[in-house]
Amino acid sequence: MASAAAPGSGVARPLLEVTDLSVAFKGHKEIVTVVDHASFSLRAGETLGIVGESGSGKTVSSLALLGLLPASARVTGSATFDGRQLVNMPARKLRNVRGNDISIIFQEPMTSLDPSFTVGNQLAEAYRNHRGGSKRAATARAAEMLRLVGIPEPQRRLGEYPHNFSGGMRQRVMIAMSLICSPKLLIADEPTTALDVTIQSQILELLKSLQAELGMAMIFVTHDLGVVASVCDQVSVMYAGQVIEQSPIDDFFTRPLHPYSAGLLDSMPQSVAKGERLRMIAGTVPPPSRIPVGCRFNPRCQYAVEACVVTAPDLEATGDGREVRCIRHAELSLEISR
Amino acid sequence: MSDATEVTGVTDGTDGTGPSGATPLLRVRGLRKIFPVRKGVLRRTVAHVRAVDGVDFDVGTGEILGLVGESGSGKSTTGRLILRLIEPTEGSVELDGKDVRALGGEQLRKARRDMQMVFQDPYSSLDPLATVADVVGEPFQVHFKMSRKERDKKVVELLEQVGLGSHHLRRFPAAFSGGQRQRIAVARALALEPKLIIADEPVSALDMSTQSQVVNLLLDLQQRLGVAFLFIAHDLSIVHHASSRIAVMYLGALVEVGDAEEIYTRPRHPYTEALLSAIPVPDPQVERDRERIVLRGDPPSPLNPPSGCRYHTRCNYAMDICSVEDPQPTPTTSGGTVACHLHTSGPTLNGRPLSELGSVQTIPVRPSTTS
Repeated sequence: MASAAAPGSGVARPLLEVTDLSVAFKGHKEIVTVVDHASFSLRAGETLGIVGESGSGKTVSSLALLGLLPASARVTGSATFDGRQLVNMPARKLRNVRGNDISIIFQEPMTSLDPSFTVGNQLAEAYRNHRGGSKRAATARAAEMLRLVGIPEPQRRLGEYPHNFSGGMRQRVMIAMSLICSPKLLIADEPTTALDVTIQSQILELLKSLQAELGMAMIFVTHDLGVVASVCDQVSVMYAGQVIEQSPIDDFFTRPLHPYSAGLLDSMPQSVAKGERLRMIAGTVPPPSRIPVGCRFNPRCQYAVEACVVTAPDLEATGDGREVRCIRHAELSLEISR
Repeated sequence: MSDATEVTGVTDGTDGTGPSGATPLLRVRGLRKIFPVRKGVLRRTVAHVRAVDGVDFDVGTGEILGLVGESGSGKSTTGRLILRLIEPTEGSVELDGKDVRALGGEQLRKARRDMQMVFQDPYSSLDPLATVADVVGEPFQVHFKMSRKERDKKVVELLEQVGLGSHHLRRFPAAFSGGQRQRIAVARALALEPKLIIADEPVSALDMSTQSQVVNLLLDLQQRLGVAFLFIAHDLSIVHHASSRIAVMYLGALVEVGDAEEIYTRPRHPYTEALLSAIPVPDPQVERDRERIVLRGDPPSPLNPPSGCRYHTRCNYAMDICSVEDPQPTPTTSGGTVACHLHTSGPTLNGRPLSELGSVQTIPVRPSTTS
């Protein structure tokens, strides 16, 4: 899985490059910005983890890429995928990208599948929508996909309805559906959060092996740092609508650059001896309507100085392929002990 | 990892199910709940779900016992059976030596003062139309008929216990974040000074940065007030951290009970081993190096559990006997119990079961803190 550079591209040009992506919704009185100038990129075949707590904007940014937000959302900035601009792409063109070049799977597989159609019907439809061809060919492809994702007796199961499948099996069906047109990028939005740990590990192993086999890139939206360590090459951490750090995972887990990243890693039970008080980040994530002035993390940051309350830091490249949004990153050395 | 068991001095409970020492605070024996499955116009019973199928364990005074398992394992049902929020089909639940199941009416109400519950989702467990003063103060009204003024005074004290200020008194749940709501729920559970709090997944609905705040709160309360907890969760790493002992549940039965550190570092039951192996570790190096045990298939339906050991359909070590005979809990060298044929009918070396020689061993998730 180790970031295989895109085959054929000398200089690894990113497959997806997101720059200053912002998403705002019109509230009752004012306009609420939920994602604020988010930037991240990933190369072909690579896996990027987008990590954040609820309300950090991680899901909204991934939905914005695919134009899946409600009409009331105002999306600005740029997201180039394979040379095409996704932001404000006409709906008809975007529909061709969605499910074809970029696919998405969601947290709750039951609500993503239509209960009144057979699994085979839904899989075949997804294929014929983009690739056309006969029903028979599409059904054959559907069976092939079910086999690929490890569902026993694919031919028989094609004729069954979603409720006949267990949670883990449904998520496999979703994965089969999302990969049926061989996308270059798969966005997985908390794909294992609703599943039990033993099923989660099956799905993670499946996604890893499929990626090795098919060579697609993945964006993994998650709040679970263990999942990030297990499947990702790069990680983008979001806090209160902003990307606050992007790092390769080995750097991130040993030497995080942002105090929030360090706080998250430190608050895991693995960081302290058993029975001791867990380390924690004081306070809570601010709602979008009450974003602090200056650095958004400053009220909760143990390293905050006066300047942090005044200036909003930019996302800065550190030169070694990492980026961070903290004015003190150079002087802080945040090692994680474990 | 040497044989740290004896060194750590995990003392042997009388029958391995309980903490060492005198009469436990809570003693659960043979607890069973069978739900009928009804179908058709006549609501005829067509099948039975054995949600909890003969469970034995103890919780000591001031102890935190972790109860882990996957969805459908019956861990939440167990918690509710203890409080008699669901009526057990069979078995006994003794609190302080008194059989809770034999109580009725006023006596049951009194017994319930000693046992309280904190639910998983603080968004649905608090009445959105009741202020904090109402929510936390209600037990005082129900049990002691206190006046509003007295109640408010008590509530402020409780809010302080859980780290919330008195200015929150007249606010509604909507004004609070998930972590704060869970604190309110904990304050309500503490109101009657219970001896035991059953916490059903108290942190799994919370954001990661607030999870540790709530875990710390529970640890504080245990240390400061000596409240015992039955900590029900699916996240073994948090349960390991907070509990002194852990009970692992699979399809309605306990497969292993024992010292938390032992279970975490030297699991005796293949299911515990697989469960530990399934948890992704927040360390990319460890994740790359380790061999993950990927369990085959899904957990079987509790409607139709496998014969013999209910885990044998997914077990990597299953033997012939496993599909025939249901293994009984047997004591382990470290003072816990395990229900697995490997420990009684498994292959032996020098007269000792292989499993006790450390062949069933998980990856060291992190260096054992006891060694």
